Amino acid sequence: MKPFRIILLICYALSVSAQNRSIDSLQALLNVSTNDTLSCDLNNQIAVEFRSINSDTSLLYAAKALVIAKSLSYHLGTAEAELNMGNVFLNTGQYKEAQKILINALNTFLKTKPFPSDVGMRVKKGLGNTYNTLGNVYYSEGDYDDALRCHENSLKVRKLINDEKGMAFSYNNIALICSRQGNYGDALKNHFESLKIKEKLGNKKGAAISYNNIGLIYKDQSRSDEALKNLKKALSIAKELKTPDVLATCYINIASIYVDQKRYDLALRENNHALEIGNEYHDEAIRSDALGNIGNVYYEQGKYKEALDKEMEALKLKEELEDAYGACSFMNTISRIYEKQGKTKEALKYGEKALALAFRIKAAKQIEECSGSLIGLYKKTGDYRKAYEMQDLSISIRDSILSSKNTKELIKQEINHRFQKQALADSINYANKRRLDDIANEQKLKAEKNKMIVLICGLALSLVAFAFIFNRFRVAKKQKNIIEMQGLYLSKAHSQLEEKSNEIKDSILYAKEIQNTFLKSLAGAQYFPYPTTLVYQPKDIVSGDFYWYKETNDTLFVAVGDSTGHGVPGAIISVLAIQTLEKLIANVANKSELHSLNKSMKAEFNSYNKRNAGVSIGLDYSIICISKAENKLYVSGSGQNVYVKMKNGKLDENKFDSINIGGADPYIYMPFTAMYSLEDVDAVIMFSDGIIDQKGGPEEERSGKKYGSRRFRDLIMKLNTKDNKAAEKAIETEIREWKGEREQLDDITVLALQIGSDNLHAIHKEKFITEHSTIPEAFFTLEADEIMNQHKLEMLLHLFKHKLKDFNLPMVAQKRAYAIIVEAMENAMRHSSKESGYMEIFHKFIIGNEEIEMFFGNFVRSDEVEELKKHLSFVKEENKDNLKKRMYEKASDGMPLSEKGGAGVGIFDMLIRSNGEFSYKLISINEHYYYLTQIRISYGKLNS
Amino acid sequence: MENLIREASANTPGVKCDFVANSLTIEGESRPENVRAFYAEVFNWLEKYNSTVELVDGKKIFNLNFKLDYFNSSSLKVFMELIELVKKITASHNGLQYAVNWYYQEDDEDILDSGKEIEKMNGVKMNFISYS
Repeated sequence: MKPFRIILLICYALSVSAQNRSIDSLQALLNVSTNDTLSCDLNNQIAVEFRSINSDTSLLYAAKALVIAKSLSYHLGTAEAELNMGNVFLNTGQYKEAQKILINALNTFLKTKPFPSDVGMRVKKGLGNTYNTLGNVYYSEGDYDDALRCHENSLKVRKLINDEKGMAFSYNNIALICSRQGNYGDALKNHFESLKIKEKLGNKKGAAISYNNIGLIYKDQSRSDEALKNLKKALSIAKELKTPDVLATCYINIASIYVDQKRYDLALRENNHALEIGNEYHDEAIRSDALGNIGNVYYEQGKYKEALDKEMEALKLKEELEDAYGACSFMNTISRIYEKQGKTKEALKYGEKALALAFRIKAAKQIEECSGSLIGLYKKTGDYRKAYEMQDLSISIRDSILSSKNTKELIKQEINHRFQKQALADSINYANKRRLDDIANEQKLKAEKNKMIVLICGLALSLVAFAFIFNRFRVAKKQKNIIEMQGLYLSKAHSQLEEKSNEIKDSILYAKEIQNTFLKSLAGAQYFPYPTTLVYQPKDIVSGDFYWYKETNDTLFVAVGDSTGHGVPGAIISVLAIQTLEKLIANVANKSELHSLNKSMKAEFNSYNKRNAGVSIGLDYSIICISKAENKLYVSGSGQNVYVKMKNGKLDENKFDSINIGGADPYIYMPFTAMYSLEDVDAVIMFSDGIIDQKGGPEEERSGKKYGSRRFRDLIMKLNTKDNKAAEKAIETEIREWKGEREQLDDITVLALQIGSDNLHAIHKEKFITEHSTIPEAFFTLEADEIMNQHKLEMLLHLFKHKLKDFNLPMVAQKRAYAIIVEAMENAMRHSSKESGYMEIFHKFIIGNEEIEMFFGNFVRSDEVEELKKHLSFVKEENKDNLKKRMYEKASDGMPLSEKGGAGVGIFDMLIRSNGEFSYKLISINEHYYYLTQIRISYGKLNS
Repeated sequence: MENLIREASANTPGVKCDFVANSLTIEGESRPENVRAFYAEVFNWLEKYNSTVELVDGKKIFNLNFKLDYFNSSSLKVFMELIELVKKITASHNGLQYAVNWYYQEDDEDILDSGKEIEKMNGVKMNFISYS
């Protein structure tokens, strides 16, 4: 029987004193916290700090956090509290409770919107930790298959967020399960991965655990020297750190090697060290392992009575701890002791119990050991059939454990590790470098492939040309002047080839024109003419990238997409993608669920792919929605990032997991829609990964560096969002300079909408005037955008009155224009908000041959806009007589004038005077509205 | 009781409240920066007139004269109230009557038109008098 050892699953790197300091300050914060979500978070954080100090206290804080979180429907807080409680339950051996609450935590994390990015980070981190803890619960219960699945999930999530510390734990835990299942190759591989990270991060305790676990695998492989070497390394680190669990583990495991080497005194000494630690720290797990191992040494020495006492004591502890693996080991040892003492019946009882347990927890090593002991026992009782079965079982299990594949894998891993460690020492950037090399190789391969394609195409063309020439040649042979003819046909063939090539080029150029008609930048937008920065650089003539928008007078959608592939295939997919977006956008009922589009896009594209197994069409994309009515910006997508530059200078990075449109379901996918109040947003930046992946940098680096997200972020932060054209130039220059002489690798698209632009109203104004002004030739134009006061108004009226007279216009027209200007200006002055500084009033008067056009623009506070809208919808509907009636009714209603001195009838007055020739537009800008009107006096309609 | 006389300015009309002649005249352009404040003293004067007026020979007519080039919509509201007040004052004094005289420049249809609308709305018979 191989002696027993414990293996550690989780470790906490904090020292006790540091924890206390941190707890004190957290509690101080909690005492002054009035914010509910914050106090929930603080309770959770304190629960984490207490996790390894005091389970009860940790549980108390976690439960408090849970109560607060639930009362607030605060998903993230709920999930974190559930995770914390799950951890306590695991540590106190309440596995069923742990399992239940951790599965709750998983579901809660998965339904939490991972937005903004710091929340997303917490969600993913929490998810990784929950999978890890749940894996440990399954492991403790002996359910290795589920445990492995959980730890692999945990590893995937942790890789997503580059949580190296967590990854090291996951590798370690996966290795432990592999080792329990007898898969030593994978176990060692994962241990080395774990060790690599721990050494990089300077995590000594973690490294000690890895060395310990690696030692155990060598032990199982009967390689005592290697095992002892690794275990002693672990011990020396553990001594330095003085952590009881690691220290005890090392002693016990070293003892087990001494037993293998039959050095029993040494083994007893080491195990007694471990027992002392167990007693000192009242750690039952350590005590039971130490006792079991001491018993084992006695067994090996033939001291069966002493051995049985120790083993029974250890088994009892294991059963109390519900440690199935440990219990199984000790039962088997007890069976062997009874066998030696000649008590076959008892021996069989314990042996069969141990085997049943080993099967239940699917522990290969235990099955091998138990079945091995049972062979002899069955033989002794004369049950040869069972003895034969056991023999069979024992051999097949041993074969699988020591299979040549496993051993080969083992050696390979060992060599790998030595090599990698050396490389690590050479350069801390080793891993990065390797990745870059991989990419470079891939590129080289791609270049080779491209060369091949060119070669084949060239060959094919030459063959065509040759066949052509040859044919002609045969005809020409009959004629005398062969050489002359040959020259003639050659040049003809050449010109035909050139023609073909030009035809193809023309065809692609025409395809580009077609693609352009599908690409819609915001330049053509009616209701949302945001200043737009657009950098669109296809790798080839046509592009797999695309941009698109769709608007109503209230809602704007903008998308940027990146189809699989580039060039002609990419372009075809991009057109399909745009059409699919056009079709599906109507189904998005709730804008805060913008991510629901992902699923319908995926369904659509997957159905395209089903029609032809030979193609794989799909895309990454991002989409935003601006709703004026809600004053909100919504952001979502799949497989792209969208940056939102806030007015307070912060950059919010929204990372949208890929739902893998056109492909299989992703492993992990947390869809969400980010939401912003429009007035907080300066700019929103959408982009394909072309710019991020572009290689460039210093010329001397042959393959170049990736431009990368960090540089792009810095570029965006530096960007002058006030000036869209300057921003465009800045991005283009950056790409050009980064790329240098290198090839462009992919299509590049960057689309930035300057939502918070201060001169937004100016753009609307220009657009409004262009749309509405019809005077072909003006006698006189007066235009200004200024802060108005009574004095300025008097001067303006004076000037205008004289101008009207100068052109000898009809008196009624003069008077009406004058009246309209007074009403419009007084209204504008009343509503220009002093508080917000939006006081500029725009006016433009154009006197023409047939009419006078007057434009006005001013800001209106959003609380006043409803009233204005009501008036506007009324005046648009009614005829002149009704307007008059309404105006005089309102003037005689006996109500006092408004606070600002208005009678609320100015708009009626203007409309009556202009014979209904009136247009307007209300545009939501930041927290205000911009109100634009055009009023026209046509001389021909004065008397109607 | 004193008369109230205000000279016209670019955006305020000339005002003449004459106790002896029993008349109130508003003339010129009415678009004061603060309409309510501007006309407050006119309303005050009318209140005072109400408490001081005595009928000497049993019959008197109070003339409310509007002679405007332009007035803004806020002024319109004030004029309506003025007419209402004059109506009320004359009704409370036995033998006191009133007349609203609306002057308009010959070709200024808009001013005439708004006078007609006021008449319709107030139910008051107004005299429309053109001048050149």
